[in-house]
Amino acid sequence: MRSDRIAYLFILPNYAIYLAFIFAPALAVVYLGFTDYSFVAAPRLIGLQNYFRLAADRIFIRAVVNTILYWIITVGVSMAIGLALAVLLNKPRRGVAFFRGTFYLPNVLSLVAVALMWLWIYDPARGVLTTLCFALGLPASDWLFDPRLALYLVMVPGVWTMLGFNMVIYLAGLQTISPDYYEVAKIEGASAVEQFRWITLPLLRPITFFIFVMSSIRSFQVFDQIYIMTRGGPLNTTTTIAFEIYQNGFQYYKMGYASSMSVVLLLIVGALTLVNFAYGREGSEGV
Amino acid sequence: MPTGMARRERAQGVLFYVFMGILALVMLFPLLIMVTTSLKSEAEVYMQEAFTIFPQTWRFSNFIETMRVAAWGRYFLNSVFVTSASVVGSLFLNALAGYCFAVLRFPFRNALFLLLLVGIMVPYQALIIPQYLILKSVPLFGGNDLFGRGGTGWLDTFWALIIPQLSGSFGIFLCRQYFLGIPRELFEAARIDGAGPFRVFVHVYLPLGKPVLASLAILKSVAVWNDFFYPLIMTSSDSMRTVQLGLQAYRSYALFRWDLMMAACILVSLPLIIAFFVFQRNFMETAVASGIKG
Repeated sequence: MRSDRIAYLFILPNYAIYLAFIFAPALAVVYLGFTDYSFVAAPRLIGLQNYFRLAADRIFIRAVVNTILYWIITVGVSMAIGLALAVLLNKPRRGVAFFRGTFYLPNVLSLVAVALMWLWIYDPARGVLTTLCFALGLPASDWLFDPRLALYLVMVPGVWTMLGFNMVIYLAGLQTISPDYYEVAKIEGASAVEQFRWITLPLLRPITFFIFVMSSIRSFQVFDQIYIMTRGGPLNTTTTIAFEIYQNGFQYYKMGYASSMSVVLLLIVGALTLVNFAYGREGSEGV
Repeated sequence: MPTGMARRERAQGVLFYVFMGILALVMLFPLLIMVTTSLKSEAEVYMQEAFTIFPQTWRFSNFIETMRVAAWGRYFLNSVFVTSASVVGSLFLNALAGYCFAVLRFPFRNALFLLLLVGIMVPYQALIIPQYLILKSVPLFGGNDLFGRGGTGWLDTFWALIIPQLSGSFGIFLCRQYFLGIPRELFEAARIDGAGPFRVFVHVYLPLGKPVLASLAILKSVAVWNDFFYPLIMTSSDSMRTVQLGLQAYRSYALFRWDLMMAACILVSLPLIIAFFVFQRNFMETAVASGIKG
C-alpha cells in the first residue's frame, strides 16, 4: 500500500510543540520533584526528601484537604443542580432556550472577572451581602475574612460557573433517552419521581460519570478564584494544591519542592482519568 | 375530565415559569450587581444605608474613566492578538494533524496518535514549572546563547503566549474523529485526479470540516481569552499584559473604586458575552461536542 510519508512533515509543527511544552514538561516535573532546585543553582538530586517534607508540611496538607473539600462540594452541588435544571428544561416549551442560555452564561465569563464580581458581593463593609443582611436584620459577617466561612464562600462562584456546563451536557444526555420508556412507564402508572428514579437516572449513568470526571479535573485545578479572592487566606483556610504550586514555585522559588506538589496533582488527576477509562467503558457496555 | 387535565397542565405551566423565573433571577443577580455597580457614582457605591439596586444617577462615563486609568488599550490589543493568532494557528495545525491521523497512511501512525493523547489527561498547572524553565531557555532568544543560557528566552514575549497554544491534543482528537466520518472515496477520487495530500486537505477536508472547526474556534477563543494562570507566570512587564492580567493588576487600585472595577470586568467580558448571544446555539453544542465525544 502507498504510504504518505509527507504526513510526518504535516504533523511536525504540532508534534514539536507538544513534545516541548506538554510531554517533556510532564517528564521533567517528575525529575524535578526529586531535586532541590532554587532557580539560582542547578537542580540537585535529593531522592524522596521533597515527598517526606510534603507529608509533614501542614500548609500543604491543609491545601490538599481544602482542594478535596472544594472538589467534593462544588462537583456534587453543581452536578445535582445541573441535572435538576436539565430535567426541567428538557421539555420543549416556550422560553426554554432563554433559560438554558441564562444558566450557561456564567461559563463564558473569565474566572478572574467572576471572582472580582463575587469579591465585591462579599465586601464586608459595602457589599450586597452585608447590605442584604442589614436589611433583613441578620448579623453580618466578615465573609471572606472569616476563617470558618472563607472556603465555602470561594466555592460559590465555582458552582455558579460550573452548573450551566453540567446542565448542557445532561440535556444532551437526556435527548438520547427514547421517549418510549416514559410512555410505557406512564401506562404502567409510574409517577414522575419513579420515572426519574428508574429510567432517567440509570440511563444517564455514563453521562453522569463523564461529567463527574470532567468537572473533577476542573475543580482539582482551582486557582484563579483563590488568587483573586483570598490568596489562600485567612490562615491558609482557602489555599489549594495549585495555589501552593504557584506560591512555592514562583514566590519562594522552591522549584523542586513545587514540582513534587505538581506530581501529587498529576497523580490525582491521572488516577481520575484512568478510572474514567475503565468505568466509562463498562458504562457504555451496560447500555 | 379533559378540561380538568388541561387546567392542571396550565397550572403546571405557570408553576414552571414562576420557578424558573426565580432561579434565573438568582443566577443573574451577581451579574445585575456587576452592571448596576458599574453605572453608579463613586459616592453612591459608598452609601450603604441608602442602598438601591439600580443607580440613582446613571454614570455611563465610568466606562470611559475606567479605560483611562490603566493601559487597557494595550491589554486589549495583546489579548486580541494572542487569541486570534492562537485560534487561527491552532485550527490550521490541529486540522492538518487530525487529517493526517484520520486519512493518510504512514508508519507509526497509531503509536504517534496515542502518544499525543497523553496531553488530554495532563492538568496544565502541574506542568507550569518545567514549561517556565523551557521557555526561559529557548536558545538565541531574549539574550540566550546557543545552549539557552544567560537570558530570559521566550519569557515575557508573545512567543510564550502563542506558540504553546498552537498544539492541542484535544483539537487534533476532535478533528480526527470528524474526518474519520468523511467517506474515504472523496480522498481517493481527489488523489486519482492528481491532487497531492496537502491540496486534498485544503480543498476537500478543510471546507467539509467547518462544523468541527467552529467548535474548536469557540473552545480555543474562550480558553485563551479567559486564561489567567499561564500568562500570569509567563509574562512580567506591563506592556505584555493580557486583559485578565490587566483586571488583576487593576484590582489593588479599584478596591477603593468598585464602580470602575466592575466597569472594567464588563469591558473584558463583553467580547465573549456578545459572541455568546450571537452564537448561543454553537456555544452549547460545542460544550456537548467537547463533552460527549471527548
